[in-house]
Amino acid sequence: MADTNKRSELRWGWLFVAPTVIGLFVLNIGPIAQTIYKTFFKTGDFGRGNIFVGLENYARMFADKSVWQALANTLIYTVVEVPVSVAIALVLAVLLNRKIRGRTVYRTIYFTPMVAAPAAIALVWRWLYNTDFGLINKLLSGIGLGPVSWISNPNITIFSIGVVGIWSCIGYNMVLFIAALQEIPRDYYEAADIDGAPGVVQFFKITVPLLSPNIYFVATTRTIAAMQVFDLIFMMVDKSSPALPRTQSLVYLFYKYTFEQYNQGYGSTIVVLLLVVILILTVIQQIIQKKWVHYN
Amino acid sequence: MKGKRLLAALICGILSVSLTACTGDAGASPAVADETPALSDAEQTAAGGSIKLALWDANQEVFISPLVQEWGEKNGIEVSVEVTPWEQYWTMLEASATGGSMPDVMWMHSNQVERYARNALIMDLDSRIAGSELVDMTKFPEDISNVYHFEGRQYGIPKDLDTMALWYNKSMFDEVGLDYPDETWTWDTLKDAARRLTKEDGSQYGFVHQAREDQMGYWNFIYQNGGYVINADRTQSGWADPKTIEAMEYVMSFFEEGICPNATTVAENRVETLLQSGTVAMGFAGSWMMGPFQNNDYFVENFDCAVLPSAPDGTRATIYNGLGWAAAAGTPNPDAAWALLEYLGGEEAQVKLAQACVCNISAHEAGRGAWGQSDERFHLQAYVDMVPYGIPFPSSINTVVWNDMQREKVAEMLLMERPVAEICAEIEQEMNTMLAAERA
Repeated sequence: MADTNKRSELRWGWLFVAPTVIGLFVLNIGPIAQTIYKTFFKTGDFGRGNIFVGLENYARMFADKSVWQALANTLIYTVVEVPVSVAIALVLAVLLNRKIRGRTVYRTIYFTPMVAAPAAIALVWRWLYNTDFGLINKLLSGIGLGPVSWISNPNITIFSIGVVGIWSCIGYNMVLFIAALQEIPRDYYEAADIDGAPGVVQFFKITVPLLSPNIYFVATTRTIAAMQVFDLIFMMVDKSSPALPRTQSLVYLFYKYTFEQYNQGYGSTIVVLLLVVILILTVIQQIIQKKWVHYN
Repeated sequence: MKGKRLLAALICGILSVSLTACTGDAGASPAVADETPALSDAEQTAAGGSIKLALWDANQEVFISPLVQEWGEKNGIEVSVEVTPWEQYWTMLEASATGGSMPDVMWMHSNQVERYARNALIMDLDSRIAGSELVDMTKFPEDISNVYHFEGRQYGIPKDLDTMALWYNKSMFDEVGLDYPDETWTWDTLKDAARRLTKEDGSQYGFVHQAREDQMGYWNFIYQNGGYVINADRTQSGWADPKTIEAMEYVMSFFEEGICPNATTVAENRVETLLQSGTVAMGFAGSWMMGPFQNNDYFVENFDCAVLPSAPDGTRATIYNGLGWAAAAGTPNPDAAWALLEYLGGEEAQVKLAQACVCNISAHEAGRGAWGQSDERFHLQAYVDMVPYGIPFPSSINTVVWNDMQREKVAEMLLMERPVAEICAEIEQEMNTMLAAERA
């Protein structure tokens, strides 16, 4: 009797997770396998007549300087975007978690970029950044500073893109932090107040440690997302821009080879490299988190 | 409770309607294709069914849609026009070709046609053209028909042709008392004028070159100078040819003298933006750009065009190219698709579209004059006058691959950090590797 009960429970269990599991296999794991499979082929036109070439695509990739430059670009972008956006979002979350006037208004303002379409954001920023006609340079020239080529100077373009990336994800990170902040019992802060600990000390000794699981979660997911940056670069940096080689990300190269040059084999190889790098980064983050994340 | 049930019923209803709508569409066309005999004259036979037509220029769609819809009503064929911007058009077409759902009739381009023809994805039109009374291939420039010719067979009917002209800001010329450009202009005249039209404070430049614009820019100078981008049998790059390098050095001299906006400005702004904002006095532009030009008041008021300046030895050249009308080989409705193609390749449709200025110079010789007169505010005849000096658009099987590389290298060249000849040699070397890979 108990046995059949358990079996039927098991069956129901499978039934309930089925939609997710099937989705995962059909939409994620299947395509990953297919992508890896494709890296061993020279793609024929229109997906016909693929020729097996063994590791040729990998050999080409390891010798391709632009791929390594793109990996460096991607890492620079991630290093700029993730820590800064997490830090700003954390501070904002603490500030907006207090009872201040117009709290909801501020929260809405910070969250708005998250709601706007990335393509629209990129287009607006592209004009703000424009060297000759952009608002930012107009304001700078007002205080006597020379025009800066925000999105065509190879040395600074990746940072200009990073700023937009930070700006657009602060709100989302902030909302996650605010939700977590409300879980922290008031008692800790009251006790700290009685002991005479100033606000800054309270922030680093109470808020940050108790929020560390959330900070870890946000940092990991943001890193993965930042490593996949594409739309901002695609929309904001012109194909003929001298800054492109030092700005394009791995996904940008993947798009270029797969969808513009129809070389799916090579495009897949690049995206497999990205997958491996993200895996490594995530594992490293997981090891390090044992030292600073407090679960209780 | 009642409300919920109503909602559920409503959703079911919507779902079933949309489902039947889908199957209805797909099911109808093959049946028609089976029973229709080959029709040679679209005016006489009603083919029935529906045709999807794909193109990338929204400015032209405004004129093409009514034309094909009118044709469709006469022939009992439903024609729907879909516009996908150029940047995504080929990605869309590639995906639809791979998935077996190509549009029935579409615009083709010299960059891409060979891949589609070689894989038998677009219709071989040879026998149909031979039996057609409407389409006469001798009325089109041979260079343009040849673009759609592959291994002895015709895969497309020329739609239009495009040449380049020199656009100039009349007010800026008047301001410094310069004569407007005409057919006597050479490279030297162009550079002299550019010098005089450049203002010291950087608010105005004489001319504009871009890394983005090969067809509309440096390619023209290369061919005027007797250089070449790719050889006739498309196996070898001509980038390291001394004549090519000389032409690029001429282009670069504009940057060196500061009579052209610098590399960053030309990377961030298109030619039309720089002309329309009054930043630049002169620039080359293709005949397909009339849409943005006609719609800009400042431009209409201040600008006019002339033939391209010639090389110092008097050689004239313009890159010229033309789009083609092509049909999907796998269309469920081949006769209707051909009937539409035949109509669009015929004199009537070509002249009608030429009269609508934005649809570009007609490929059909009968429409040339009409296009030259299609907007009296500009001397558009300059474009038509350039046709005899046309150089076919440099292309190969995978043009995009070496085009991307070339654009990146030229963008680097504009920074003036390395010698022109060195970068040209690199382009040649990489391009040759790419061309060899194409034929492997």
